[in-house]
Amino acid sequence: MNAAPGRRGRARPAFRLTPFRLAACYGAFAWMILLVALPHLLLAAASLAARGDPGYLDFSRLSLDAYARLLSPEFATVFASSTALAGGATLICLLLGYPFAWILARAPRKWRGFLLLLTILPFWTNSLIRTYALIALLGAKGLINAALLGLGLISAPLELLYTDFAVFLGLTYTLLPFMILPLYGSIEKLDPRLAEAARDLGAGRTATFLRVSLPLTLPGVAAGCMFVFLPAMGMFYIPDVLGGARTLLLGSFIKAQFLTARDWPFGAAASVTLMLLMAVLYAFFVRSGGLGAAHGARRRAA
Amino acid sequence: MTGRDDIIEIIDLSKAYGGADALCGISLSVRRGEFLTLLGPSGCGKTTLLRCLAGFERPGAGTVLLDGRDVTRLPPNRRAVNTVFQNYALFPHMSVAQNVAFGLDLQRLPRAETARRVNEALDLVRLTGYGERRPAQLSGGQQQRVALARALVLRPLVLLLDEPLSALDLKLRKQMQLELKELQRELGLTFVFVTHDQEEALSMSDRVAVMRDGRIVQIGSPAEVYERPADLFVARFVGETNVLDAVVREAGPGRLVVDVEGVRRTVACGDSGCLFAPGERACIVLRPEDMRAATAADLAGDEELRAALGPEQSLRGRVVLTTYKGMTYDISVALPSGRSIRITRFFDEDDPSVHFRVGDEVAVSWVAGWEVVLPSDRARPGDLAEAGPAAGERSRDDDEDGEDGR
Repeated sequence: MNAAPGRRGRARPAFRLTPFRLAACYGAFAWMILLVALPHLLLAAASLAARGDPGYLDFSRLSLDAYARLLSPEFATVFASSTALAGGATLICLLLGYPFAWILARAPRKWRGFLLLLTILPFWTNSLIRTYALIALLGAKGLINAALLGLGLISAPLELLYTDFAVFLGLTYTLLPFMILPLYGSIEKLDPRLAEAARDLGAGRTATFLRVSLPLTLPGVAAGCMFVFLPAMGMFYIPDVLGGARTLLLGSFIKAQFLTARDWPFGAAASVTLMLLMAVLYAFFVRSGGLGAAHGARRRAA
Repeated sequence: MTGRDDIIEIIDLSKAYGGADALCGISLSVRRGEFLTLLGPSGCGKTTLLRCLAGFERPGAGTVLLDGRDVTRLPPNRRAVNTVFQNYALFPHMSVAQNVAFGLDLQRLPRAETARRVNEALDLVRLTGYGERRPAQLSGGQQQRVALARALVLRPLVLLLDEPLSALDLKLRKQMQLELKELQRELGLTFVFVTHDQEEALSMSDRVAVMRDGRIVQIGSPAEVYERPADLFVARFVGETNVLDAVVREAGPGRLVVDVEGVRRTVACGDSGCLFAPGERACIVLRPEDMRAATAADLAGDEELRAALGPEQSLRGRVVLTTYKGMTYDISVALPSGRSIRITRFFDEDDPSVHFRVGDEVAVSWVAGWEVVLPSDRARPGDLAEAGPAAGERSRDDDEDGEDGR
């Protein structure tokens, strides 16, 4: 182990396909094909179809009409405001989550498990219920306004609920753990001796962070941003509950096309576009060598 | 003690971790250009002391002077010392050249100057042309050299080395020992080297400071530490040792008459002779290579041997184990008291064959005057157990997390 940390790992024993493994593989493949691949193909097909009466779809006239309609200024607005909100939530999650994850990863070993548990504890409550709980906080007669009024800091209730701010708060609150967990993973793997080495070579605290700690935890940053940004783009119940009817985000837009407007091709096209966007982001993450760098950092520490 | 010759001066340095003392009042001067080794078992405080020099630890009390300047409270980045870490701590996201250039970049040197010095440093450690590689693509020995180049390129006043060779296999470690020593001599640089490997300490250092429980027990040249150990701990930790119990019968200037294992012998005791009173217990410390053994048959045929191993000055024992070691041949002899001693014999032209067999009755003696007499440590029976395995078996790297309670 300690002889040559630079060499590639030991040879793996040959993989043998036992009946159990075969069954498990087929099971997984069947599951993925039936429940993931097929529905997505149907969705893609729906995006090419026209609106029709039976089942809302008409496959006799295939076209890219739905995608053309996505270029409309109306959809562009939805897309832009979604991106801004999701991007803002991602940024705030990153700024809050990084120091949080750092403290978590550098806490005494015996505390780490407990602190991690506290981080994921909110998941034990249904996130829809937690979102409704935010109403109790943000409402005109909610806790925040009541407290501020009681302290005499404001004379009339602030308008917090049913604003972009409320949506933003809801997204940040709900998605913060998804930022913290991958960050925790990569910060914990970071060898503290690397920071010591940087200090030893003349770097101050800031230079040490910017040149050593941050670059080596970038995989965690990338993963965390992906885990926050992508769901934030598509999440519909938070804007629905907290943003009222005034905020229209991509997720709620898609939901509206399917359930309200009954325009399945348009909703499907928006959905497919969002998926392609995610795929592009993911490819970018992989290309940035994120996973490889994380692997390297871990092996150095071992 | 103070002088311009001292590059580092440590005055009464103490450090405690959660109530336990890691360093208790260490005072030590490091001379300009010397190779000083801090030697001791795990948890003796040697790494903590090095980390205080590097600036990673704030001592609880005491002063560290570097080139006459008080650096006790300075952070690591503002001290003109550099460290080679145990596991090298190379930056995995940078190439070898970027690793070496790291400190120079921070000094904002002109690009050409940086490149020149990086290449110089890589030449120095014989890694010319490896600049574009990643640390993960290098072998352990090569990574070690990169870590060395990265520290040396900054031209530190003192280079600190924290068990830098412990992750290497034996052959490579021997080779790196030579290279390090050569490099140090060539550059005329001061090295402070931490190790738990006594052989490494003896072969590389100008001076060795043996540490135990946060204190320096003895400091001196390798020969002094090996031949004149200050106490039984040093004797047992540095090199292999036979320790015999003795009772002092007569004490004279520079010599003692003692009873040891049923034999009365006169032993040399240097300056400490006056410390013993008749009737007092003492320990006779003997190195295995200073001991002699002979069977009755040997004695019968050799006048000279009879003079050296006559019955009036020899211990009696029985061979219980013989070990062939290539260059040497070790025998273990059980004495009537139950104590087992080890004797090392070198093969030479006078004695090309080894003839001891398990069960042989042998006479055992040693070169008169080569013994070391120390006060008995009956009050501390734990010594043997503690020092024994560390001195005897040193192939494995100690658990570094356990080291010094970090």
